[in-house]
Amino acid sequence: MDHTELLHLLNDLIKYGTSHGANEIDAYAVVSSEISVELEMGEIKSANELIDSGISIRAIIGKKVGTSFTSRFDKQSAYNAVDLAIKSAKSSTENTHWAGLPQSREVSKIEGLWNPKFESVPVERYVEMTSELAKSIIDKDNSIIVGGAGTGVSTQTVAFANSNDIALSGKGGIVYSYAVGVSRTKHGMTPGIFDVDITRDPDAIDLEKISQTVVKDIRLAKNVLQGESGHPDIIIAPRALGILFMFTIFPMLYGENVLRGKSPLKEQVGKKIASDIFNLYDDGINPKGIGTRPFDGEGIPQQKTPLIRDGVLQQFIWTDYWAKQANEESTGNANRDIRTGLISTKMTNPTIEVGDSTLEDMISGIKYGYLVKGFQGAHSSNPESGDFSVVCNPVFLIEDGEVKGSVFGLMMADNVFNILKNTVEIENKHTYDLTIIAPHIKVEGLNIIAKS
Amino acid sequence: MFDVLDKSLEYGRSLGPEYIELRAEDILLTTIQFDDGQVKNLNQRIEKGVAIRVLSNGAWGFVSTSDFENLNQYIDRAVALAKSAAASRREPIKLAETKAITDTVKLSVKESPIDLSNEEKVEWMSQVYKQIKDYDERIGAVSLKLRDGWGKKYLVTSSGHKIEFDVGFVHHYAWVTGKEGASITAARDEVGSTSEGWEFLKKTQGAENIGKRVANRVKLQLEAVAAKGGSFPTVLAPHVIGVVAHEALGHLSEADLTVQSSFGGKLGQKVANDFVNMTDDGTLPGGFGTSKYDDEGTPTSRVEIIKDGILTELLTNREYAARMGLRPTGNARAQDYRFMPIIRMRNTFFEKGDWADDELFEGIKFGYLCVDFRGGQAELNASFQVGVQEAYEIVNGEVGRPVKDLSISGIATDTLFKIEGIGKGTFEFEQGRCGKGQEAFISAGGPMIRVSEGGITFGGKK
Repeated sequence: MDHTELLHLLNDLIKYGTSHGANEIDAYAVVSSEISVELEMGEIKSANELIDSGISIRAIIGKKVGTSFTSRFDKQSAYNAVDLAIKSAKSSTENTHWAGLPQSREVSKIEGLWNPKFESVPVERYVEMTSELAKSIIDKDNSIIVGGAGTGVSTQTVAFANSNDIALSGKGGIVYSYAVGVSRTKHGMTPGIFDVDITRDPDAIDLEKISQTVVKDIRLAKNVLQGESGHPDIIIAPRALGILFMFTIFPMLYGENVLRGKSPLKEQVGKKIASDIFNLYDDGINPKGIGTRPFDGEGIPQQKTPLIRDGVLQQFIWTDYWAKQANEESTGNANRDIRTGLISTKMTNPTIEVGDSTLEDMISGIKYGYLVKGFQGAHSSNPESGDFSVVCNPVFLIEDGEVKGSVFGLMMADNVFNILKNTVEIENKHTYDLTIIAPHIKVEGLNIIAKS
Repeated sequence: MFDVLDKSLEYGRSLGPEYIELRAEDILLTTIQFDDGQVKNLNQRIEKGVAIRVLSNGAWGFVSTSDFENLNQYIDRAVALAKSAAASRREPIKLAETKAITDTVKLSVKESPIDLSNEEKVEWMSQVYKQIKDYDERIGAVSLKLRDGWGKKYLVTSSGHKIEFDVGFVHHYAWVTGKEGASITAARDEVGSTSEGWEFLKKTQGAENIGKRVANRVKLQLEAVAAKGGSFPTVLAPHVIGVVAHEALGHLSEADLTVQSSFGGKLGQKVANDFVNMTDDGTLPGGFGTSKYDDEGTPTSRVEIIKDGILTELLTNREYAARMGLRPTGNARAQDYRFMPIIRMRNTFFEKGDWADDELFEGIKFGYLCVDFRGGQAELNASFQVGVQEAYEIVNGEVGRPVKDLSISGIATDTLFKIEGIGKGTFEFEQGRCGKGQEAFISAGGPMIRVSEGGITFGGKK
């Protein structure tokens, strides 16, 4: 079903819903397909076609909200889903905050989200690419166990309609390759070393970059060294930043959390919360970002939103539902779970602006410190206070300006505002990772606890 | 349903793969999000679909669909995908033999989720909310999420399995914020059952119990002192030792991960002190991860992962059982029809020891008692981390002041040898979800366990 047919069906559902008892109604349809090839323990294991498609319906009666979902696109199944959403709304209680569905806004076209190769490249090519990736790693170092690798293409056609005459549709996709490897050390195993490349062109996937990163980091990780507790200089890599920020500073920037008293950033707009060189924005229209869509789960156009500029808090991100309660405008950050119907706030492509240092210069300036490539347990951070207590893994010891080897069991226990405030140097290059677009950053004075 | 599946299975057999498996679901699910005393979202949906998995030319092809009218074309697709994947394989994937089973698995509950109206469910959540808010004036935002499901699952395979399962569950999650001055904190609570119906939430747990429990955790956090950083003698209570069992050891014992982890090559070797025993039991009555069969039709079982300090058994599916010469343990699980089954834990726990409670604390000049957790994560190098949301100081053998949230970590292969004593008391399991790329309901637990200095590192700030 293409996006025009989808939109036609959704418009029909809106009419059906309003004539069957809904005062307001919206419908969000997703046709999502992922062709993936998986390699396990050095051999191709499977080729898969994962389909996660359906229609999410939200019906409102007075101020009662009910939602439903169907994974089928025939008219009768879709009508049944509308009936179920209306029934759910009737059995719900009043949401006194409800202030109506959004009105239509102009949505700009974002070029480059779709590539015809998404549909024309055969699965056999992805099998070849996955095999090539594993071979490239083994050829460089046959002591490495390629525990997993994969290549795939994920496409999504979306359509949205509501009873305020919003009618939108679009499509996009990404192609990815990844590998994770380990190697034996004197006393056990290295941490899993993972790398990924994501693009919108299957021919642009950089298998060699993945292979080189995995091999380089595993070789370093095999040299296991003892860490020291204290407050040394730390370089945090983009992937580690993304996972830690996802559970600390990002939720604090959600308008809904500010309104609900769950963010310490209330009353902080216009005030300094980070170092002068720290700039953060959310960019939902960056053509290279994996979170880029023309519109969000409420039918509001995504946008670029400055959040921290020169260390000063600029604003929060909003869904339409929460923005109306604060007399703000939605920033197009509504994430809709099509199955449960739950709409929540979410960053699209959170982006830390680049600085002017090379990574090599940042490392060479450290007498004793660490390069942190990943955090274990970031999800157990306290998103209300920003306190975190995590294991740095993988983490590499830097001595006299050189990366020497890996450290096991090194913990970092601090508060996210100390990362923001004590950032002293920022790399001059972005890495597009799974959860963030960011450079490496260098931070002073964080609390490190080494395993004894 | 079996009529449709049987015909499609026969069609699939005619294409000549080594193995074909069709797993179908038809389940009514309800989700209610209740924020700050109001229903934010009430959702009902029917999940109906089929997972098609084919082993052809020694590799897997997998497709999922809700299109029951055209299953044969999806089987064609799965076979084609498997053949594409097989092109570069050196060794074909083989499956361990299992006995063909025909069965109907019935679930008997007092109050199934479909017998209770949405209005009654919302009323129950209102009671939980009231208990939380009334507990302490410093309680702020309250988010409650209720999920339940009721329906059937069907499995047919070319190995001769034909099983119909009743599927039902209830699950409740609470996240509560507390505030005093500039200090903001939060705590969570999670419970669920796959063996009881709504009686689990209404009576076994109870709105008052859930509400007061999570509110008390917030109160303790507001009144707590900061933890020290470093290593100290530690007593781990049932919920935290359960997470250690699951994260630190259980994942290393999943055969697909074992081969690339610190447990690789250690089967039959000593990995812990002699008195340490750890088990995963898919047959445990009332366990959140319990099921009669797994998603390949293999009967679930009790797997003695560590027996008398020796790494004795691994968790397997049919593929890894054949590959490693082990028995299929019934640990192949898929979140739902959209996913391939992979090796997962079920109910994982340390077995009881012989120490009395007071012996566990005896002689500790300064240490910590860790009671409840907020998430955990393991890595292939045996590094584990557990976020702790309820902990206390131990001073001169006595439990003292509450400690602010922090996390603990260790290298599992080292920590196992630092276990000094295991309690002999009874214990409750925690019910939770594991996220190995897919969600799975699991439980974990164990008696209170004492770990000597050097076994656990505290990520404290002092």
